[in-house]
Amino acid sequence: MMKKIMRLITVCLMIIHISGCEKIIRERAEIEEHLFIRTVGLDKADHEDCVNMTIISKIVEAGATAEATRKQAYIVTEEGRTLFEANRKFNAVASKDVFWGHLQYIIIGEAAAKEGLSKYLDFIIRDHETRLTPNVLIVRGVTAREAIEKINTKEFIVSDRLKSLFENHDELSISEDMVLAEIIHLMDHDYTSVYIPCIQLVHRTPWEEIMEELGGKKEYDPMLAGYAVFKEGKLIGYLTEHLSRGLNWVNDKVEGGVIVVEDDRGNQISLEIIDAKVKKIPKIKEDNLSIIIEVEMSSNIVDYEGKEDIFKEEALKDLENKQEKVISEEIEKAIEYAKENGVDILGIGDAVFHKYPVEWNAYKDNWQEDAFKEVPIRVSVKSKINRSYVIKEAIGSQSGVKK
Amino acid sequence: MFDKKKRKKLPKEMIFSEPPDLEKMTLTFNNIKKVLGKSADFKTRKVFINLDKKMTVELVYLEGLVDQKSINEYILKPLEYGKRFKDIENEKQVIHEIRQGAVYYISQKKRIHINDVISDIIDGNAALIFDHEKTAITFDTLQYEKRNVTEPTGENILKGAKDSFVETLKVNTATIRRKVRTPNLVINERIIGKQSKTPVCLIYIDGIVNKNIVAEIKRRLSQIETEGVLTTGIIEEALVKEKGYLFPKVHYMERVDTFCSNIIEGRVGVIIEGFPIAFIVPVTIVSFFQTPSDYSQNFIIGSLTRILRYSLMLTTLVLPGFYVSVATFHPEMIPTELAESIAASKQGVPFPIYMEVFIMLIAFEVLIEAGLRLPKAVGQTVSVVGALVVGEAAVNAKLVSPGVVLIIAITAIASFAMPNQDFSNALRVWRFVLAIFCSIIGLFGLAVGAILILFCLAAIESYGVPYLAPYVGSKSYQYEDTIIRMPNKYDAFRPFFLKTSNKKKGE
Repeated sequence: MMKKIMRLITVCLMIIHISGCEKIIRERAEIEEHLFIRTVGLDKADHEDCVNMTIISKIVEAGATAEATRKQAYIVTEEGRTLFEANRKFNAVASKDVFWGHLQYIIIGEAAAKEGLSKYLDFIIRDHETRLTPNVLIVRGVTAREAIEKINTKEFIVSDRLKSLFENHDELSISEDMVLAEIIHLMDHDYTSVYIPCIQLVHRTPWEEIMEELGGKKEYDPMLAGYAVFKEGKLIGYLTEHLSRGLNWVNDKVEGGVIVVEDDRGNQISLEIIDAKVKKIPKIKEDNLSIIIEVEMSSNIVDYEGKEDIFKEEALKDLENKQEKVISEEIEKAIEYAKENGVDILGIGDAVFHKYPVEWNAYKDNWQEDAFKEVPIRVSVKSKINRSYVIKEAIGSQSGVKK
Repeated sequence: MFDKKKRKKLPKEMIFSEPPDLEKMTLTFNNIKKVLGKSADFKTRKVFINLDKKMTVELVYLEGLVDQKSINEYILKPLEYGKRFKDIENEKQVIHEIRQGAVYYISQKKRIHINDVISDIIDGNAALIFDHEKTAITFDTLQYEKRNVTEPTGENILKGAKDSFVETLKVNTATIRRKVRTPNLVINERIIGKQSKTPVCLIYIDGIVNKNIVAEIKRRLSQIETEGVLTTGIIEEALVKEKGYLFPKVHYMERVDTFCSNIIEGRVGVIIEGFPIAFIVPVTIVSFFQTPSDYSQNFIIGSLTRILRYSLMLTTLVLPGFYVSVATFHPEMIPTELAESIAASKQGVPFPIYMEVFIMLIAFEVLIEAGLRLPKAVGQTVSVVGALVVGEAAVNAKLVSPGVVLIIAITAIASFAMPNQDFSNALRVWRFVLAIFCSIIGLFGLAVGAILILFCLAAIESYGVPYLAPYVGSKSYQYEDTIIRMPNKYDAFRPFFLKTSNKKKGE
């Protein structure tokens, strides 16, 4: 009996392992047969109703030592009527199976974004290999293919550069790293509109020009430039700098940044945002809906042009007031933009729905076009300046001499 | 036909006479000579009592086993020159005088059966044979060359006793006695093996040990029917009757202090004449992760090293299978950079990853086996050739990818961190089983394999003690000395699962 079982097991193992039928076990593939892609670019193709898909993969050629190991970017674009068709076409070109499991960045070209998001994201969401964690971003002004080609350098491929870009998003808080799942969430509700971080290609490092003269390739830098705003899934415009920070304030996504104010003599002071808490409080009184946006933030003095002693209570109070004014202006501009275009990117509908699920029915239909434009939104900012870091008085104020 | 031809050619001298039947023989010098006299080391000497030529007895011993000096001094001298033998007339009086202390020798026995005399002589006694009285008196004059108590070779420790067991049973029991001085220490001796007649000692402490376990061990040892105890396997297999699924159910050790601490905990020890190793039953899986240095260091350090040991056990068991399944079935689980470099290093290697892993695992086993067999002088070559050829050259020749070499190296090193070699051997086999499962259905196979191992472990029981105790099966939780080692004040009880007759330590 035991012998028979052992024979059976041996035969099964041999069938599975040694026979030529590779596909006897589904999903088994050697690791080098995969083409790991970390960045995909999605574009509108020249042909009617066609899409362009650009993939970039790092080809590593292992050498005996670390120096001998060569890295090379591999960029291919395929056209297809749908994304999946384009995806399958890669297999004919690439001799490897495109593996979506490591996808980190989805770059959508401007033209494609204007055409509509859902067409481009459906395959990526539906496919079982991809996760819901890749960052989505729009490139302003160019196609995704162009952006990928321009950002890519010899040392760093696209995903490396984008990674460091998104890691530093909180330095200015004008944009954010939004993953696919968040965008799905925004797309799924009829009371929200989609906003996606956008990048811009800038060409500003002068030594690159010297390189170009010497025969090098002209290189561009990606820059996080606020948000692209969508209405009903189609790109309608961009929020930049202060406007996009205003949006971040409302959505409680500010983690850092700089606020520049002037003291009474016109000297500029830089305040570093240390922490910020924002609450959106909807209120319904006698069938009238109103929203209060409460911002609580604190900052530190990091930079001061003048020589006055600003480390006094009244001076600090004055600075706090000015800072509050800057913030509420930013927020109000963002609100104005949202109301003008009838896009609730501020998450106000969401807040109302969760606080007043019953009363929400009255606003449910046509929230973005109608009720949202009418609802009064009050902004109240409470701010505090904590400290001025290492020195209290400015240098040159000669406070040391007095003592 | 072949047999018949051969038998005819045998010379007459080669045909042995039937061994004499000891039961029917009477105790005389000639009979003893008949039994033992064919051997070269059998020596006799005629002793003239009080130098009287009429009164002679025979002194019989085996050369090399006895201390001749003490025979001269303490046996021959009093017999031939002692004043108490002056008025002796017959052998009976001689025996009487000897028993009364005329010969001052500490261990002397009066024997009337030839069986006893012969086994005494073989044990290293010198026997005085009184033919007329059919009596013999044997003196324990055993002395032979023995190895000194040395440092243990297999289990080294920085802070702790350096003595280990030696081949001589009596030395071992003496070492144990010196460490455990309670009068309750019982050293129960029995003889096993028809030809080898090896003494085997059961060692336990009365009043602590579970008597049922001792009785069961005694029963199992008495059932042994063997020609000789020349490998420890005979005793080990007799001690273990239950299924083990390759996991060891007897703990071997060469350190006396570990042995003694196990005895004090309420376990039973077995030592065998001729082996510098002792055995402990019953064992649980926890004891294979304990080393004496855990207890001689600060409890935090001890606990950390023990946690390390547990995780190394998991590593050595699971890592090859995990690598196979992650690299072939779930590349999304590997960090992107790593996946890319693994894929790059795998480029050009013709075999699938599971084949590479099996090849390397087998190569590793070959290296171990070859290293064991080689004489010390050329032992270095295996590691040099193994490391260079199997590692460097195989990678350069694109036979295996560097990732697999690294994985197997980690597995190998982790396996050497196991304190017990038997346990490590079990892991070696299970590692293959897991790797096969993983090569079929990936991480799912790993899960199935892990459940199978757990199932097997949970099914093992030795002497009524669950193998996984105290993690399972104990009514009250007793985790003071498991994955972590608590300070001694918290470890107040003997292991409950041993069902010792005395629960609390220090009572």
